Amino acid sequence: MSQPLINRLRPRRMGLAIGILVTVLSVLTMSSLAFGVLLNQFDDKTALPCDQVPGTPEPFEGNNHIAYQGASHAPYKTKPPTSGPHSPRVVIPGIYREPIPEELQVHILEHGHVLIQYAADVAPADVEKIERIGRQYPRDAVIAPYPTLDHGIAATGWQRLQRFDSYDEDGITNFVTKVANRYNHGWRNKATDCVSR
Amino acid sequence: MITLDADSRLAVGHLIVRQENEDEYVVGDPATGTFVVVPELGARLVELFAAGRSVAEAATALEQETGEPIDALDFAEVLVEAGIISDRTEVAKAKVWSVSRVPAWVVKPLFGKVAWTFYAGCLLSTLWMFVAEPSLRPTYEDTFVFPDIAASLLLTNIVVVLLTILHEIWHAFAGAAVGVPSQLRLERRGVFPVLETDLSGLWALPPAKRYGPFLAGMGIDSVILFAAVAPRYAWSHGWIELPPGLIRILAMVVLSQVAKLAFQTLAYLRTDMYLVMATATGCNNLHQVTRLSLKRLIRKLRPEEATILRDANPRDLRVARWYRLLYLAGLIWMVFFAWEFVLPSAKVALGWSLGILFGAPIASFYWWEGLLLISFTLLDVTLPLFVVVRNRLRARRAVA
Repeated sequence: MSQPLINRLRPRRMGLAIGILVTVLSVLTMSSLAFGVLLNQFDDKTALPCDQVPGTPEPFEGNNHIAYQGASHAPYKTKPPTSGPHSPRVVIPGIYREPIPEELQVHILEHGHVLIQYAADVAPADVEKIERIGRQYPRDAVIAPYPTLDHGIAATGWQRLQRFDSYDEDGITNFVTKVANRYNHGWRNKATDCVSR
Repeated sequence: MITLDADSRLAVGHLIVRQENEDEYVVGDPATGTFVVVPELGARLVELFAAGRSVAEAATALEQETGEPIDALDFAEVLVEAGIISDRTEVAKAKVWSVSRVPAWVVKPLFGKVAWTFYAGCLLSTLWMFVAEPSLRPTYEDTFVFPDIAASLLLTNIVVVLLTILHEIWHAFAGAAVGVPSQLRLERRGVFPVLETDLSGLWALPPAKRYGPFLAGMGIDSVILFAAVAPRYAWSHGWIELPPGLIRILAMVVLSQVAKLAFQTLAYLRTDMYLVMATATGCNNLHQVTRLSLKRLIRKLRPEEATILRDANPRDLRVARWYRLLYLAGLIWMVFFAWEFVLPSAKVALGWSLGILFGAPIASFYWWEGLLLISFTLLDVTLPLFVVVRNRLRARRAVA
């Protein structure tokens, strides 16, 4: 006797369950974007103090877009550059086997990423090790050759520079983890450029 | 056009009759997607027509069964007017997407138990990889596969369109597997332009047979997503070597697929998940009933709208009572999305491209790149408006 009743109830319960599931999925999708924006606004993380940030602070050289790749601009004061006029083109974190133009390097830094670039004298085995660090931090680091660098390895962030004479896994990893995301079109989480005190 | 009289024998062998409620039956042709809801007596008449009785014979048989006079000719004419019964040559000419004409036996294995287990396995494995390795989750930067923004947008748009067509092909295949042909069309969901496979014929089938075709697109999306995430997971752990350029292309595919799957969960935009929910809750016209019941609160309905609401299925009205909260939240969210994401990204893209147009030497490579960027941006912003205007013009022509 109870079988027909169950048969009548099952579709209704299933309908209710699927209705609830779809509603929850809709709300989750909407809220994940909305909460993302809200959380960014009320983010209360505090950046590292200047004396704990690896590398040396570099002066601000501007943040304007040049009209197009190759347009003339004031020369950069550091090598590699750490701020200044830059290309509107975008390079995202990852491993690159071709040199990245300096105007693009600055745009990478403006987006909060760090650059690890190596000179022609760095051994292929060390290049492989540097690229392995890039694989570990695929959202933060850009790895690329830099033939005009006199020697060794250069790590740059926005207004931040550190040089390594040879491969230093701890030093490079420390730079990537502590410098990336301090700046992203503006200083974040109360970080400062550490130049103007 | 068919001319009917009492001696007509109707060709109704292709029709499906399915009980919807206690005294409601769906009579329809899955091949054309046309169907009507009729009372029990109407369903019985279709059975008698299918058994080879003429209009007069069917009326006599039913009068004997019920003891009431039956106007079978009038009912038959209603079926013809609704397009349920028509000249078969006209049906053959109906616009149907050729992909959906694949024989059912060819595509059925793609929607069997093994296939669905595979689709679900791909989705769950991908979610697990996203949790285990957060850097695999997509970000907006993944669009920029190349430093050249125009080249990146071009590749992204091509990949998105191709994968969207694949999504729609899977809907069409799943429809073909249950004998329902379909049409592909460009539509709009809020501020989003969409491609859509019209599978109206499914509504003539029992609910259990509709879920597969509705979820098929998300099934193949999950497979593509897995195929893009798994190699990156292995590469980030140093298990395999892949060209760095390929890694960036895979990341762009992941962004596209995640956005597509997330979009499908937004039921109030009449996505695939809406169709699943409407089927599960037994609704016939939930979206329109919800929209009209809300519209009634702020302004007067047009007579035809009031009729739709008055004749609405009680189940649609009951579900609309809570579904309209989701619908309202969705409308608010869409305004937020347009304000927070669509407009700023269009502003940035226009700023970039105008800067290039005015700064770069005229007719140089960069100048053309700027022009291409402006075209992309304007296309993204204006495509939904184009669909609105096109649909209004079509509606006006239909009335005329």
